[in-house]
Formats: sequence, structure tokens, C-alpha cells
Amino acid sequence: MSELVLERGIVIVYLLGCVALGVLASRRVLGSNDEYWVAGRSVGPWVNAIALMAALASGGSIIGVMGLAYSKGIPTTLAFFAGAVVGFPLASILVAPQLRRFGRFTISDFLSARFPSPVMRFGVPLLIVLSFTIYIVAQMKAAGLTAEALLGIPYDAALVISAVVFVAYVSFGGMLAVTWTDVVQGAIMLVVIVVAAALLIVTFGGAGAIFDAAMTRAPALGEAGASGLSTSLGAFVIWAAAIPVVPHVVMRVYTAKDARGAQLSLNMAMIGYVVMILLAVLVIVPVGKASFPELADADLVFHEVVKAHFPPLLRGVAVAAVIAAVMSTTDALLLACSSAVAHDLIEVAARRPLSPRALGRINVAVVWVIGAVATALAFRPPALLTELYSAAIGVLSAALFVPLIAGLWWRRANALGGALALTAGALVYLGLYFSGVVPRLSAILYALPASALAMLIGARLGAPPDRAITAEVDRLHEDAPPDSAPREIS
Amino acid sequence: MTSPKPTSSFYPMARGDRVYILVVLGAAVIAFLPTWHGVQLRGMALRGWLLAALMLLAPIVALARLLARRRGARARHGASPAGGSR
Repeated sequence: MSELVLERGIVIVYLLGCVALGVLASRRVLGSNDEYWVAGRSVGPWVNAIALMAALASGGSIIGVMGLAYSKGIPTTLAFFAGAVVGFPLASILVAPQLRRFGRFTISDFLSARFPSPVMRFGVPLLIVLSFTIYIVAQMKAAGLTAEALLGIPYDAALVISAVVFVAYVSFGGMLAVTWTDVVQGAIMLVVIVVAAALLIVTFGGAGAIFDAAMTRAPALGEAGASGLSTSLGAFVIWAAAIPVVPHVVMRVYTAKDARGAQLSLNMAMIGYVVMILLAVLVIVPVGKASFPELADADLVFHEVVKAHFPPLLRGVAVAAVIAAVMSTTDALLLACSSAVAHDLIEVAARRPLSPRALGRINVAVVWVIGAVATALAFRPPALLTELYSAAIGVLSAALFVPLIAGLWWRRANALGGALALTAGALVYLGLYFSGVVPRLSAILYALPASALAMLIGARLGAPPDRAITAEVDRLHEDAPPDSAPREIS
Repeated sequence: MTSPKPTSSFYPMARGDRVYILVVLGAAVIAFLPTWHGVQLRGMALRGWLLAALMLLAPIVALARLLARRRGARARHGASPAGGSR
């Protein structure tokens, strides 16, 4: 009983600390859109890297990566997460410096300016809200499972409590609160996974011994065929194409002090992320598979390992780490949704800049509404977190990757091409995903070429881009001296 | 300052960046080759080991390249009379 009190106490202190950070941040951010959405563009590379790693290493990553490895095998799981790792250098080279020089708030800002059309102006934020709401549901499930398994709190109650906490601090504290909490959360996650893996390695006589024992007792863990090559390749491509376009990563690019800081933070974040994923998959999961070969819900493997092998204090911190993972991603997703609705939809539809106070009220309302919808959906979530949110991210990759990369790197990309590429990518992905004609996650392998073809057709048939637009994109490719201040667009 | 060639449809990319992206994508293609189907090393499919190696090496090389370029750029700007040495 006293152990449970200790574990719950650690989690409660942690949650209250996050809310306090949100309240503190709100004093600074609510009077300025720059502060609310991109933390005043003043975040240094180290802080940005940890926050970025935390935003990406979601509850889905921590719980989901282990659940996926447990049920589908390690090679299939690595295909999912290697895609994200490859996506980081793509983002660092192809997107980060240019978008940082563009200097606005969201990916919609760039795409709407580069490809002026209603399809882009309204389609991008709507896709973001749709996709991220599903992504948030996956995070909520991770929070509920964790609280239920390790703290004994009923799943539904845990959902509501965790939703209220992170909706509260995001809605009031904006990107600054998200950055502060993400740094704490990222550090906790990294430390817990490293310490947990180290403890298991010491307890079981080495990483090699753990791995060999697991492969002997559960050979399926090492097999590559569990999900099929096209599904593995599809998952890899989804994540490789997603990292450069997903709004919670792009917004982190905008928070950097300068273009090189954005590149540096992306690359440093990638290393922390890789350490976590590989330790989880190659050490913690083999212990879980060998110790608990018949779990009904694969996503519970980390919890079972924690319960069986760790002392109460570490169990409490581990729960906090999982909740940290959930929160650090969900807060970034909520903020991206908030910016998609308030900044990209409402402010654009109003055809005039709204006052920071008015936008602040809209932000708060949007965050609470999306939080409530996601919580309602999370009461009956589907199985396997990683597959769920990978599918949701897939539609963003399919729709946005080609327009963004072509918009930044191809002078002839025009408004018609952008609109067609977005539409074709999204429709082909959703059509194939829901029709079941091909393995679901492999839909991206058809959607991206369709999107690229649509871009080419649009560029051929439509009017060339306006000179002012190409001049602006030219400016984004100008090299700047290291650590120079970015030129902002007036 | 480098200014993009206005005659080309595409913006120029630094050669090192181009090579890095091609090598990383090439490594990914190799990891997914069906040739490896059934090949195992220490109980795990070779594809898994190749992907794990890609996950480790891609970020380390990317960071090393970035830091080396940053140092080089700083040295160049520091050496230049008009450079903004800090």
C-alpha cells in the first residue's frame, strides 16, 4: 500500500509541477502570438533538442514501440522508427534552415504563401486537426493504460485526469509552457529508459545474455516477416516523410534562434531519440518477452517489466516518465491543432489579424474542445498504439511532403500543382487505406508518387508562380553566417 | 553568400548534403532488399540489424557533419576582415 502511495505521490507532484509551469508561462505568452506559438523564437539548440526529442518520443513511442516489438518482432518495429530517424536529416537539410528563415508560425503559413489557393489555405489546417486528433487518442490510451496498470487508477478516470492536466497547461502557457515541460519530460524519459535498461543488463548478466535468452524462448521476436515487407517499408516511408512536415516538429524549427540552431537541435534530438528506441527494443522488450510471453495487450509489456523488476521509487518515476512521454507529445499536438484552427483557419477567414487577446481566447477554447473530443474517442481506443498513430500521420505525409519539398526546392512548383499534390496525396492514401486493396500502411507507397505526379501535372497546366513568390523562396536559400540573426518577414 | 542559379528549375544543394541524403536513402534501400529475407544473425533478421545500424550511424554522421561545417564557417567568418567573429 505504501509503495502505491509513493508511486502516486511522485506522479501527482509531477503533474502539479507541469500545471505550475503552464501558469508561470501564461504570464509571459498570452499577450503575444510570437510568444504563444513559437516561444518568442528564442529557444537555444540544447533546450530545443530535448524538447523536440520529447515531442517525438511520445507515449506511443515509449509504450507503443515496446508493444509493437513484442507483438510484431524487433525488425518490423525498427522499420517504423528508423523511418523517423532518417526523417530528421531530411528535415535538417531540406526544410529546417529555409523554414526558419521564412520566420512565421506554422507549416500552413508557408504552404499558403507558396501556393496561394483555398485548397491549401483550408485543406492543410483541416488535415492537421483530423490527423492530430487521432494521434492524441493514441497518446490518451497510453496514459490511461499506464495509470491503470501501475497506479491502480481506473482507465477512464486516468484519461480524464491526464487530459485535464495537459489541456490546462497548454491552453494557458502556449509554446513556452510546452518547451519548459518538454525539457523536463524529455530528460525524465531518457534517464528512465537508460536506467531501466542498465538495471536489466546488470540483473540478467549482460545485454547479450538478455537478447540470446529472448531469441531462444521467443524466436518470433527476431523475425522480419510478421507484418510483411510492404507494411514495414510503408511504415518506414510514412515516418521518413512525416518528420519534415508534421507541425509539432515544424513549430520547433520556428522556435529556434536561427537556421543553424534549428538544424543543430534536429540532429541532437535524433541521437537522444535513437538511444531511447534502441534500448527499449533491444533490452527492455526481450526481457518482457522472455518473462511474460503471453500478454493479452502487448502495449502493457513495459508496465509488466517495471512491476516485476524495479523497486517502488523507480516504478513511480517510470510512471511519471510514461506520462511525461504522453504529455510532451500531446501538448505539442494540441498546440499545433490550436495554431491550425486559430491562426490558419479563423484568422485567415477573418481576413485581418486578430488581437493577441482575441486569439488567446480562441486558442484556449480550441485546445479544450480538441482535448475533449480526443478524450471521448479514447474511451474505446483500437489496439496497438503505434499502428494507430502511424496511420494518422500517414495522411499528413501523403498530403504535405511533396508540396513542402517542391515548394522549397523547385522554382516551377505553382499553386495548381500544390493544390493537386495535396489533394491527390490525401485521397490516394485514404482511399487505399480504407479500401483494404493493399496492406494499410503501404498506402503511402502509392500516395507519394501520386502526389508527385499531380505536382508535375499542375506545374505543366497551371500558371507559373508569381515573381514575388519565387523571389521570397530565393531569399530562403540565401546562406547566412553562423549565429547571425534571421531576417524576419514584415 | 551563395546565390541560387536563376537558370535552374531547382535550388542548388551543397554537395555534402546531397551525398549524405543519397547514402542514407541508399542504406535504407539496402536494408529493405528482399534478398535478406530469412537471413538471421544472432537470432534476429539481418534487416533488423541493418536498420539498427542505420539508426545509430545516420544521426552521428549528420551531427558530426553539421558541427564540422559550423566550425569551418566560423573560422572563415573569423578570418575575414568583414567577418562577424564572436
